[in-house]
Formats: sequence, C-alpha cells, structure tokens
Amino acid sequence: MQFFTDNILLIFLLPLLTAIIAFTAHFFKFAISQKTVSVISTVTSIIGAIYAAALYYTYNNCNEITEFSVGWLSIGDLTISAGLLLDNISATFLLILMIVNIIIQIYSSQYFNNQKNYNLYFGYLNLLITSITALSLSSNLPQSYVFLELTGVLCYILTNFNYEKSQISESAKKSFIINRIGDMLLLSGIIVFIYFVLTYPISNNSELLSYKELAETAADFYVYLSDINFYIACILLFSGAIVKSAQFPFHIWLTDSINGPIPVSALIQSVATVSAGIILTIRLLPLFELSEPVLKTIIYIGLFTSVICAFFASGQYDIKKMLAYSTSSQLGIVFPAIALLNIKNTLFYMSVNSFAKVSLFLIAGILISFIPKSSSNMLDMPVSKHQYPFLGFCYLLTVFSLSGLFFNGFFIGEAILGQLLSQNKKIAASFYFLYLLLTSFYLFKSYFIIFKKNKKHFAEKNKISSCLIIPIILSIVFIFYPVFDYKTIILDFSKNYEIFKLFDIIPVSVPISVIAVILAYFAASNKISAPLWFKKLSLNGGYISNLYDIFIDYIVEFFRNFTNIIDYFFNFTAYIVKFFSWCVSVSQNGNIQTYISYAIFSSAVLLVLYLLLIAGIGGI
Amino acid sequence: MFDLLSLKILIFTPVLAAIIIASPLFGTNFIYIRRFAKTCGTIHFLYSLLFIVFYNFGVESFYDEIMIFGSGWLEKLGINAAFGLDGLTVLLAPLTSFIFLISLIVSKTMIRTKHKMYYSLMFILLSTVLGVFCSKDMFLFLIFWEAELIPLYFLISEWGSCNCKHSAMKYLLYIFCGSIFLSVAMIGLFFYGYLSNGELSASIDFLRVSMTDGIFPVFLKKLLFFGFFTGFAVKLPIIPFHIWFTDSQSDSATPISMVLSAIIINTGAYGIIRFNLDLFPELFIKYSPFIMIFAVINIIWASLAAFKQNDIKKTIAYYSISQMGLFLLGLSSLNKIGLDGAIFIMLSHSFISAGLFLITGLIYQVAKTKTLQELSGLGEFMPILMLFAYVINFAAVAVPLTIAFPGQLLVFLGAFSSDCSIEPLAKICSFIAILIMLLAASYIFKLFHKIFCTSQFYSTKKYHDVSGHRLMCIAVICFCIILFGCFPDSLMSIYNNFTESLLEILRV
Amino acid sequence: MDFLSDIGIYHFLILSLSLFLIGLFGVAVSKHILKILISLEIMFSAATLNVATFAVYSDETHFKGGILALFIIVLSVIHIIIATAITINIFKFKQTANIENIGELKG
Repeated sequence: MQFFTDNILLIFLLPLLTAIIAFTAHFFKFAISQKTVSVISTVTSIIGAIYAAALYYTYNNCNEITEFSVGWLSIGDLTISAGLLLDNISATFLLILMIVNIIIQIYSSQYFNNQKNYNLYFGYLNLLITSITALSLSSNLPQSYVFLELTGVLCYILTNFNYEKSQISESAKKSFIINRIGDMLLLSGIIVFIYFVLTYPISNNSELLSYKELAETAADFYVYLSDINFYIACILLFSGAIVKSAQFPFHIWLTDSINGPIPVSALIQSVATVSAGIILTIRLLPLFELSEPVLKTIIYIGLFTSVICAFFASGQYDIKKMLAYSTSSQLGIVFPAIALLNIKNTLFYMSVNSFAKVSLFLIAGILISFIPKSSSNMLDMPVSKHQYPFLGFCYLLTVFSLSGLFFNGFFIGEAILGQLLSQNKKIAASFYFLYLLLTSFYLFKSYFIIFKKNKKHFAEKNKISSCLIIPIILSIVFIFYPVFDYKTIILDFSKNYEIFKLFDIIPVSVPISVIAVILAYFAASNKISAPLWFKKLSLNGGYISNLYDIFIDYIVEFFRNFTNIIDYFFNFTAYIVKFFSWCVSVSQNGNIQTYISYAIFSSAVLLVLYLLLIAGIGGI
Repeated sequence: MFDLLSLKILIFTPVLAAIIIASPLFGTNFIYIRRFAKTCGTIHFLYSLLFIVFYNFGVESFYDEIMIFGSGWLEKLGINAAFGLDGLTVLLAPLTSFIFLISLIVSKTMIRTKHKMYYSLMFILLSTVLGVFCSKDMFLFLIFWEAELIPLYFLISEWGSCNCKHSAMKYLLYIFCGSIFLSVAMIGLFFYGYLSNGELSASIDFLRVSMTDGIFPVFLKKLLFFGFFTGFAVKLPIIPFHIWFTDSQSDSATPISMVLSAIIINTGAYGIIRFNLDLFPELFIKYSPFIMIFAVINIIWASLAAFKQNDIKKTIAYYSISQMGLFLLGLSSLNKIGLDGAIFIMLSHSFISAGLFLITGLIYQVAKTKTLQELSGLGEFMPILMLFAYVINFAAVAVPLTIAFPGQLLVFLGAFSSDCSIEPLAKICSFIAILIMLLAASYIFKLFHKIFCTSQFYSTKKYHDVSGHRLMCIAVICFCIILFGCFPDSLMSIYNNFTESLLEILRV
Repeated sequence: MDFLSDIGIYHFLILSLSLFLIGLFGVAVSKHILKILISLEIMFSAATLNVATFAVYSDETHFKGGILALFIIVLSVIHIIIATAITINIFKFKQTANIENIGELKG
C-alpha cells in the first residue's frame, strides 16, 4: 500500500499523458486513429480508478494524513507551496472522481463517434480530469485556487466545444464570466486570509496556508473573532465556494453551461462543481466553525438555494435545464450537512448525488438523440415505457434514490432534519420539508412525462449502442456503493445518529414524498396545473438571468459614455490651441499695406509710451 | 570570459548592424536584408542570454565604461559613459532582445516597403532601449531616452495605417514634453549634487549617496521628484497622459505595436524604479497614497474605456495601460511582496501584450480589417490560431499557471498588506484592483468571442490557417507564458537581491 | 485766438503731420495702384513741408534744410514718372489695377 502513496504523482501523469497523446493525434492526423485514442483514454481511466480504490482502502478507516509539498513561489516570509494532501476526504473523493471518469470516457467514445475534433475533445477531457484530481488533492489554499480556476477554464473550453453555433458560445462565455466573479471573490478572501497569516505570531507563517496546519491551529484564530477582517475573509472565501457550487444567486452559470456536449455537462455537474465548492468548504471548515454567524450563513444559503432551485426546476420542460437546477438544489442541501453533520456522511450523500446525476444526464443524452430537431424538450421525447423498458427502469431507479423515498438519500436528509429540529431551528426545518416536496415532485413529473404510456408519435425502436448503456448501468450500480462498503458508511452512520430519532421523522417525511409523487402524476397528465404566473415564474428561472443581462447592459452603457471625458478634454485643449493659432495666423495675410499699418501703429504707440515715460521721469 | 561579455558590444552591435543594412552593401534586395537582420537579431539574443548565465548575484556585474584616451567621456563635467547590469536589468535586456527578435521575424509579411530603412531603424531602436536599461549615469540615460524618440517616430509614421502620421506626431510631442520635465529635473539634481557635495558627478550611485548625505532643501526635493515623475508618467502611460499610446497603437504596424507595448512602456516603468524609488525614498513613501490612487485610476479607467472600443488594437492598448496601473499599485505598496509582484508584472505584461498584438496582426493579415464589427466567426477557418489565442486570452485574464497570475497575486497581496499612511486606502485600493480581473475577463473575452466564436462570418473566401514562421513565433510566446507561469521562481530568484536592496533603501 | 491768428512753427508741423497721416491712410487702405501712388505723393509732400518748416524756423545760415527739400521734390518727381511707367505696363499686361489681383507671389 505504501507503493500507492509514494507514487501518487502517477495519478496525475496518467490523464496528462493521455491528453498529450490525444493532442498529438489531433494535430498529426495520420499518426494515431480515433479508436486508439479512446481505448488509451479508457484504459488509463480504469488504471486510475484501481489506483484510487487502493488509496481509498488505505486511507478510509484510519485517520492518517500524508502530505507532500514543494515550494512554488517564495518571497521573504511567505512561501506558497505546491503539495498533495491525502486523507480520507480526498481519497473518497478521488474514488468518486475516477469512477465517474470511467463512465464518462466510455460514454463519450460512443457519443462523439461521428464528429470532427474527436481527439481534441479527449485531450481537453483528460486535462479537465487532471485539473479536478489536482484540485481534490491539493494541500493548501492558493493551490486550490489555482486548480479551481483551471477547472473553470477547461469547463469553458469544453462547453464551448461547438463554437460555430453562436448561441452555444454566447452562453459559454456568460457562464465563464460569472464563474470569474467567484474567482474574484475567492481571491479576495485568500488575500485577506494571507494577510492574517502574515501578521500571525509564529515563525514560519506560510505553513498556515496548508489545510493540515489550519485544522490543527484553527482554534488559535479565536482571538481574531473581534476583528471585522476575519468575518470579511470568511464571507469572501465562502462566497467563492458559493459561486463555484452554483448556489443562489449565482446559479446562473450552471444553467448557461448546459449547452455543451452531454458528457461534459454530466462531468461538470456531478464532479466539478462539487469538488470546487464543497471540498473547499470542507477544508476550510475549522476556520468557519469558529464563528456562529458564518455557520448560520452557510446553513441558510444552502437551504434557500435548495428550495428555490427546486421551485425553478419544477416548471421546466427542458430536461437539461431541469437537471441543472436540480444540481444546484441538491448541492444546496450539502452545505447544511457540512455545517451540522459528520463529514464522512456528507461525502456519502455527495457520492449518491454525483452518480445519480451522471446517470440522469446520460439517459437524457440518449433520449435527446432520438428527438429529430435535437431540442431537449421533454414533451417532444417520443419514447414510451414499453419501447425502452430498460431505460425506463434505470430512470425510475435513479429518481427514487434522489427523491428520498429510497434508503440512499433518505437517511441523510432525515439526519439533517433531526439536527435542525434539535437545535430548534423551525424555519430551516420547514425549508427542508418544502425541498423534499418539490424535489420528489419535479423528478417524478419528468419521469411521467417522458415515459408515458400513450403518446402521440412514436419513434421507431432504435438500437442503443452498448457503449452508451454500460456507463448508465455502472453509474446506477455505484449509487448503491455503500452496500460495498457496508462497514464504514452505514455502521458508522448508525453509530452517530440514534435510529430512534429517525423513526420520529420518517412518518412525516415519507408521506410528503408520496403526496409529491401523486401530484406529479396528475401534473404530468395535465389533470391539475398550477396558476399561470406560477408556471411562468418557475419556467424562466425567476427572471434572474434576465436581471443579470439588464444590469450588466446598463452598467456597460453608463461607463461607455463616462470615459469619453478625457478624450473630450484633450480635444478641447487642442481646439483652444488651434483657436489661438488661428488668431495669430489671421494677421499674416501677405498684404504689405496691412504690414505698413501695423508698423506705423505700433511705432506710434511706442512713441507715445516713450513720451509718457520721459514726462513721468522728468515731471510728475 | 570577462572580455567576451561586454556591455559595450551588447549595446552598440545593433548600431553596427543598422549601418551595414543602411549602406549600399545590400542594394535593394530585401530578402538578403531580412535574412541578415534576423540572423543579427538571433545572435544578439543568444549573446544577451549569456549575460544571465554568467550573472554574478549580488555583485554589480558587467560594469563597463567607454574610455576615450584613458579618461572618461566628459570627465571635466563628471559625466562618464558607464554601463552596468543589476538584478532587474539582467532580465530586461534579454527580454528586449527577445521581443525585437520576434517582431523582426514577424515583419517578414507585414512590412512591404522600404525594408532597408525599417530594419536599420529597428536596430537603432534596439540599441537605444538597451542603452536606457544598462546605463549607470544619469545623463547617459537621458541621451538614450531622448534618442528613442526618433527611430520610433519614423517607424510609426511610415508603416502604419490610416492616421499614422498624426499619431506619430502626437507620440513625439507628448514624450518630448514629458522629457522636458525630466531634463530639467536631471539638471537640477546634477547641480545640487555638486553644490552639496563639492564633487561634480552624474553617476547614479554617487547621486544616491549624495541625496542621503547631503543637505537638500525639501522644497527642491519635491520639485525634482515631480519633475522625474512627470517625465516617466507620460511614458508609462498614466491616465490622463495616455492618448499618445492608444492612438499610436491603433495606427502602427504589428511588429512596431509589439515593440511599443512590450518594451517602450517598460522603459518608463524602469525609470520610475531607478530614479523615483531609488533616489527619493522618503518622498516616495510620503506620496505613496497618491501614487496608489493614480494606479487605481489607471486600472479602472482603462478597463472601462476598453469596453466601448471598436478597434481591437485600442482595446489591447487599454489592457496594457491597466497592467501598468497594477505595476504602480505594486510599487506603491512598499513591501517586498508588492515590489516583487510589480517587477513580475513588468515582465509578464511584455509577453502577453506582445502575444495579443501578434494575434491581432495575424488576424489583420487574413481578414484585412481591425474593427470589431466586421470580424466574427474566424474560429472555423483558423483553429490553430484559435488554440494559441485561447492560451494568450487566458493569460490576459490571469488564469493560474500562466505568467500573469503570480504577478497579479503578489501585487494584490502586497497592496493589501501595505502599511500605508491612510489606513483603509490600501485595502480599498486592493479590492478595487481585484475588480480588474473581472473587468479584464469581460472585455478581452468579449473580443475573443466576437472574433473567433460567433458564426456570422459570411465570406466565401477560404482562409489559410497560420503556418510557418508565424506559427513558430506565437508558439514560442505561448510556451514562454506557460513555462514562466508554472515556474515563476526561476525569474524571481534573479531579481530577488535587487528588491532586497531597494527595500533597504526604503527603510533607511 | 492767438493760436489761430499767429502762425508759428506748430501750425506747419500739425499740417505736415495731418498730410502725412492722410497719405498713410490712403496707402494702407486703397486697392487701386494709382490711389496708392497719389497717397504716397501726398506723404512725400508732407515730409517736404516738415523739412522746410524746420529749415525756416531754425537759426541756420546756409538754409541746408531747404536744399534737402528741393532734393525731395526732385526725387519724388522721378519716383512718380517711373512708378507711372511701371503701372501703365502692368495695366497693359494684367488688364486690372487692383493690387490684390496683380500680385504673383504665392503665400
């Protein structure tokens, strides 16, 4: 096992090498064929997954932490280092990442089969995997920031993959710019934090930047609680995490990034957003735990996002948008979980979420390819339960696990609820019930709409390639991965939370979900429907996206005209100079008569002055 | 080895090359002229790299003086023609040579007339800029500073487009007005150095000593400080003196824009470090809040003005101005982190703006237009150029692992943790400066998107993608951007001692 | 009364000054060559009058001023003859006597 820890760099180098091979295959087309590239890519992802499994096995049960680090940038007292941190959090997340990697690679090798830029896509995909790996393994705050930004950049490049269509590239650009806001906030938070680190009275200040040190010395930051800068740092750091995880009000970028290829959206929404925002918050939790207001902010923003994004998701007919909103809302539940619960259980919930999201996206991808106009509207999908029973079954299973009727997502939600109620936070608890209702509602509604028994037009039964089905099977299997790791997760969970308390809550939450399912059934068959304004509000995402556009337009217009001032000022100066030179040039008219007049006139004036001077000196 | 690496050779070889090119030796065979120029440029660049290799850290290296008949140049007046390299200039000199080499290679297809004059003027410009960086004597600095004006004026006015003569005249007038202040301040400093010390010398080390030891009236010091600052403020464009920069950028040919933005601006920045920071430390500390305000105005104003531009080159010119604002912010923070970051920005901005102008030039060659409205959807025809444009685009936005990120991070850190006399000012300024990241993302990205990604390009012509020497140039620039982004310590360790010594001066 | 009845040096000087100014005005304003020449002639006569006045009203034995006045008259006659000859030739050539049109210097 030590072998795996020592050669940790291998887990980076494998995807990086694959990326380089893919790029050379793209530029030198005769060298390597498409098939070879995809096979190499899949094989390296499998090797990576085995490696990650070994690491997980090593680090999961023990509390061991290993760290490597090397200096990257050193100025005087401050050293920003590059390093890797291996503990149970990062090992778990790495395993999730690698398995999702395999799934996505197999799916994309079939999905992109007839397109040009096949190799380029695999190159970028592997680079993205490298970057997310580095992000999840990073050992200190600046390094997290570096790979966070790189992840955002690569997500942009991948969503912009079909840049010939202007709608796709416009939305990719918008999502990148809003991501940039998050980077800006996070960088401000890091700078304020480094400022604290520099003024901290220990010898080697820059060690504090690493997460391991932070976890150990966080209690010493207690003295700074009275300083306003501390709150500012925490809020800024957390808002960076909010933007990256697509919480309200920055969830816009996720709904804009859905226009990319389906495997890319699956990867981003299952793994990239999670790793960016949530891993960051988990690592910084020792800092956030010190102050009560920051914890409250985390809980409430998370809950509010989950409810409101679930509300937006319920009105959508576009399946990709619905899935995007559902990602935001499910990630919204993770934040209170981090604040209230044990981190291991949170990771367990996150993994369920990731795999379920991946499987939903992949199924949606297959369904979208059946629609002739390649739109993604659910109402247009011409499938029925009988035509594709296997797809319907997979979809149903995933929806069950996400909605809280099945035991996977089930217990965690109840645990959160239990913690909230035991701390007497009734409003937060009611938020959670609302979230439960809405989530079950929209998930089942989508199932009923897509897989209705009788529909107007049927497509012919196409054969779905096995490369597209295997990933879906894999992802559904791994939703239930706690069954593999029965000991650590389920037993550990039941150790922490008394089962009796859960039995108090279950009678309330299960019926809510059941009611939501029944409502969804009737809504899908249009037997009941909400008021029109309600539907419109939900469909347009609360018009938040439009608000952003208007706001930015106004600001840009205002500043456009404002900065003309300097140009006007300098033109004015030039104009005055011109005016005076015109005045002088008028007198040069080449006419001798005028010259004579000037000469005589000025000599007369001089004479008068001279006489006055003489008179003045001589007389008065 | 000591005799082989001589600064006299480094600085005056380009003049020799210029004379050879301008002589009747080559006739009008522009192919031979081009090849000779590129060969000379390559040899010069490799020679300047040797200076870094054999650089002796901490000791003033390569001190070299032009002796006429055994005594100095104008010995009676105390003006020696002395050259030397220290930690900062040992990086700036090869950088200058590199950017000139790139622009000489690129000018193969972009300069079509009067080749002889062009190449000889470029070499003369190279020589004068190197003289500015390497001179150790105040009046020698001034001579090379003024001598930069002439070749650049001709370069802008002859090979530019539309309004180039007008812009070249603007450039000349602005810089000349600035250097009037500079000359007066230098003469004043020289004179008062003599008065307070009894010894007539214009060497910068002597002046530094005499400023600390001698008794200068404070009012005089303030006047001299403002004189120097104004002279350099016009060159490093500080709003509102930036008009010459944007106009000459938008009207000159691509290789000249690259040189103008990457090198000439750096001379202004270098001048501020060398004279204002070095010779007037306590005044600099006293006025650092105002310099910080200037820097923030630069950043914000340039970013806002860049939004509304229709001309690609003007947008990139405003981007250069905002980078120089960041440089000033780092300087005025007066701690090691900020100074290191400021100097790194000076270096990184050269690469990035050279790359941006190169891409603009390549697009112009293909699409024959520079206005944003007419360009769109080029990504379909030129995917390789788009790939390199991605890299440079992200570098401009300061994505990590590119050369822009360490500099910006350090500047923000330094500005935030500076102990400025007006307390909240430093913090507010650094937050405002972070805003530039978002703004830069918006306008550079908007540019990039409009040019490459939208699909409204209705044209039946088939465009060739970049290839050959142009591809090599832009690949080298991208490679340097990524290399120095991944390993910034390689550059920082070279000028580390220089910033240490600057901080010593500031503390005393 | 005194001033208007007894004629002294000042009266002649004022007369010559006025004549000079009238002639100057004519030179500066006129657009016709002949007008300029006639005004110039008036200026000459004013100058002559000035010289002659000073010659008379000073204690001089040999009347040097008067000789100067004679010289001026002769020279002005010659000047008029030649100027008129030039003017006639210009008029033959250019068909106009307006000074704005007969000038050939550019700028």
